[in-house]
Amino acid sequence: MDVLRAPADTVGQGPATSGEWRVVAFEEGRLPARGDSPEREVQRIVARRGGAASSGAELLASPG
Amino acid sequence: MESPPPPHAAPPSDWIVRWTPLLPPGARVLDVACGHGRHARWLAAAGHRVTAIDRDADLLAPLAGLAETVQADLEGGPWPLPGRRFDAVVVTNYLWRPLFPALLDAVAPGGLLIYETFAQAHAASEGRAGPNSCSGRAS
Repeated sequence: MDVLRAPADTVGQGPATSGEWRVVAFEEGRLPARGDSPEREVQRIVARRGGAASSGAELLASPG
Repeated sequence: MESPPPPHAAPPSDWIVRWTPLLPPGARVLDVACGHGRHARWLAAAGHRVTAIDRDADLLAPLAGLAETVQADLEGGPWPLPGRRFDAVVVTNYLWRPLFPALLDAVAPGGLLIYETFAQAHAASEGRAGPNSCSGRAS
């Protein structure tokens, strides 16, 4: 899976990034078919960039 | 059988609905590859200041009153918002890995990246080529 992980050949392209990142939530799963869309595998992530106070409401979500 | 809603009236992703409450009121939100704008509309209705990017000007036109719209070829042209920072960057049903550095750089300190995309198995089943791309129907 690891769809959201960039392959090595793309690392370093584009603007420089900085700051620490914290994963707030990550899920892999399947979306059911809807209308003319087939069932789909998906990956989802929420990440917060460091550098400012974050909400205390954030919890690491369990997969699935 | 009930027919699906038209694309512009489709409900927002559950993932987006679940996590955007982390945003402060009036947050600056970038909707990348916004398509028909279901998330741009939903975020604007929630009081956020939305910038919506898509390559299709026809899809952006109806959003003009709700969001700042930016027409750009994200896969063939330069990043259209150099130096701009947002409290959140939202991406759904779209994956173009060379864009990752620009997306990350567009998140302001303390801001959120909220991403939902298809897995590789889906991309393969649709015959999409290459390790960099995976995009579905317009959001």
